Amino acid sequence: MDENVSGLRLADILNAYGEQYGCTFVTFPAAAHKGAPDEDVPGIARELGATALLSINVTDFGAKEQYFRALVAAGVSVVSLRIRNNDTGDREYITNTLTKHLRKIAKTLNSTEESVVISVDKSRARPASLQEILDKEFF
Amino acid sequence: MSENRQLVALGEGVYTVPEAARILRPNMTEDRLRYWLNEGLLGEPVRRGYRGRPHLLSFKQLLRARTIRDLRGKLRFPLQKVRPVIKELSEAAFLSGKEWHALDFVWTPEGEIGVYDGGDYVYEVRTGQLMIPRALLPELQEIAREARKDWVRGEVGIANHPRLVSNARIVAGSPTIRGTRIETSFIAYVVGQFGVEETLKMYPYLDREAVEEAADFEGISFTA
Repeated sequence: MDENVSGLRLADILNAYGEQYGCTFVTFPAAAHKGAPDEDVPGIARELGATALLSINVTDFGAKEQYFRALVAAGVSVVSLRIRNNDTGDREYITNTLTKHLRKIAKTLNSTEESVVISVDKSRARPASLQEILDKEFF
Repeated sequence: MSENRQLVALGEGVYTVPEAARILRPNMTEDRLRYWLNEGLLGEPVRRGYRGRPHLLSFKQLLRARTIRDLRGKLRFPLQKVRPVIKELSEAAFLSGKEWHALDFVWTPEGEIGVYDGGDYVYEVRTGQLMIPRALLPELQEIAREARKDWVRGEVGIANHPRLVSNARIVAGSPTIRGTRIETSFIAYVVGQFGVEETLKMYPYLDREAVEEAADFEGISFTA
């Protein structure tokens, strides 16, 4: 979970649910890597043994998608939950949405060698490889 | 369509027009930025927007927009009249491949503004009919100095919000709380959901002022 998400204290709930799919959620080590630059994120993910970075996005996604592309190109998968204006967006909504799609998220991450982006919203979890992100208007 | 396939590397800032306008407030609007972009004052964007896809600007273009805004403010002429001068000044200050720390505005023997790169003549700004008061020179130099400083550190401050920054190397320039990777948009969302007190419990390493600045910057009302 990235530094934003880590504060929401979702790890216990998500880990309890994710166990059945072999998923473990770890929080971003903010104290040790406070204000770390983006270039360090792939290394931090490797240190943690993390397969993917979980990010929640609330506004102005246009620039963030470029950041996610760069992370995927650097070998880090991204699970991006996007909260849109008409979504409730509370903690219950976030956990419900993630747990609803956790099986597919876990399956996707376990079955692919390459880094992917998985875009999650209340109705679906949609994976894409870097090439697919570049070729299509994915986000 | 090929513009959409461009890839920004980790560590490079990238901004939508609304985001850049918010970072450069006050005295900056989305309309103004779009106008400058269309007029070619900001150079070619990282991605030119189309069919609901936003324009994307680089960190250099964010600084360039701020420099143009400040130059325009100092020159105190209507944009239409001063545009050629601003264009030339900003292009001179942002010459690719030049060392920014050495660039300097000077007054040339011909009574025009010139831009030097540490001794070798680089550029003489053609002001035409427009008279630029010599007294403005230190102010122009200060604008260039600020742009150079922020370019080197890859970070711009946000006016009236001293605890917030846009650092090109952190979350691709998304406004964050200084010294962290926490985005103002996310903290404002948390404040909106849970209030300031609960947010401070969730993020104990953030101070109250930073949380309140983030909420204020994002236009989220909160009770102190």
